Amino acid sequence: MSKIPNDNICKEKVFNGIFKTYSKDLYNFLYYKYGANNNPQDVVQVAFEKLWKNCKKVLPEKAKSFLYTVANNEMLNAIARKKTVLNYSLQKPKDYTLESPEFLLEEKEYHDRLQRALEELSEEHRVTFMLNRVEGKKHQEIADMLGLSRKAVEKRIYTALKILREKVELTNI
Amino acid sequence: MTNEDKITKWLAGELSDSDKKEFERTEEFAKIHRLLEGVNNFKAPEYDVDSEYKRLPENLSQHKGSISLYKRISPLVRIAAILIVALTITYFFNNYFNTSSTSQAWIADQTEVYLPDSSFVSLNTGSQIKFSKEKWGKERHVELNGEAFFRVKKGSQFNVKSHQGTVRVLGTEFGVKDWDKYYEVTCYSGLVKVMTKQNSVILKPNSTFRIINGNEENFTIPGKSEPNWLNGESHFKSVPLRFVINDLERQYKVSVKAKNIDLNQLFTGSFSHDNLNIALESITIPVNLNYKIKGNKILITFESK
Repeated sequence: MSKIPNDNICKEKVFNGIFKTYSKDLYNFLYYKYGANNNPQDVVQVAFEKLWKNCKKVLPEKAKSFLYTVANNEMLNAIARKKTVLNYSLQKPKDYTLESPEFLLEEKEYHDRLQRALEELSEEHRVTFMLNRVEGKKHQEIADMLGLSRKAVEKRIYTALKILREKVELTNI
Repeated sequence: MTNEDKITKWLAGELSDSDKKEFERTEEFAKIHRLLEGVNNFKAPEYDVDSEYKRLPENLSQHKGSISLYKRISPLVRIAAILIVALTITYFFNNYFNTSSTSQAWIADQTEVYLPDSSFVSLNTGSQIKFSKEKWGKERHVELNGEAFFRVKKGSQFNVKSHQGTVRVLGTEFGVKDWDKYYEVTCYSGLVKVMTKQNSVILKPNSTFRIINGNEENFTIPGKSEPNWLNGESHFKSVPLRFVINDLERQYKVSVKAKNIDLNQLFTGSFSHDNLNIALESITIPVNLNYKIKGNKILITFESK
């Protein structure tokens, strides 16, 4: 029988490396998909705890899909336990610099519409769109994360933009 | 290039330099640009990897302690030890902890269940499913009493076994309805294989297969993406009245007695889930019947005028 491989997740160094590689992206994914009210930080913790508990059974190259599956499940079950309708919410944008009152009002109204439009997007549209436009993830990276084709990701981003514009722009496109 | 193509290419960074410059001068682009800038304000809060790592609970470092002891034992002994422990645990698990998960819906409520792979099941009133969490990795197998809607994640073969048949899919959306002498499978997306004692059938999207009192039927249901009961209405197409009444009894927690009525007459129509009187009228008026309510007992009669 061959040697036990050196890079197994039960070694703290390897586990730490996996945490450093995937935790932030997983957090962003959960935040954009399920919102600030659903404790994305805690779900990331739970996912990694489960990975550690199962470190003997999960190969390093399978860690990423394990983490995403566990995190999604944990999130969905936590939401089902709360028994409330999924209430996606974003944190309020930062303050603006000094401008005229009319400009500020229009800006505020624009951002309110944009916030509501983002919250109303389907989870799949929103997570794809935000990961690409705000986090700079490439189409292929997102495709891998969500188990889709690159073309499907492209289409989702376009459709999300279209829906957002319809809700946010005051004149018809 | 259509407008949609232009925007899609721009989003992907695939427009040629000249096309890009030209597009970025348009008023349409100015609107898009404002929206994209605005969206940046909703960026997720910063994630501090180092402090989050430190947050992982203490028991992780305890586990670490036992690992270093583990490292000192020779590899072959380690392998043998793992196998013995694993086999013993599996043996006990299979024989003494035969756990399945039963989710039972209360009458007149819906229960939603997420399976271990995030596949989604919605149970209609009075229905239950059973599945084994531990065995899920090896096989996706669900037992069903009653009626449920499934949204299955792509993956290995997924089976739904009920009294009158087994439905097999790879990843798709479908509904299964299995009550006494009434078996119905509807495919909303993907492909679904239905296996009964008599034969097996493959369903394409927007089609329904059903066996009522032993009679098989196959028909299309254009334009639906999920069953009506998920939205608070029960719909029927040429269904014997007895089954329509059974559904009403389950939905409203009532018991119905029928006098002087042909319960085999076919009914096409629907009733909603939020008002018993209106629901009863929906069923009785089209077929010239009367009803009387006493508490949670209902009497339906046919009175010739």
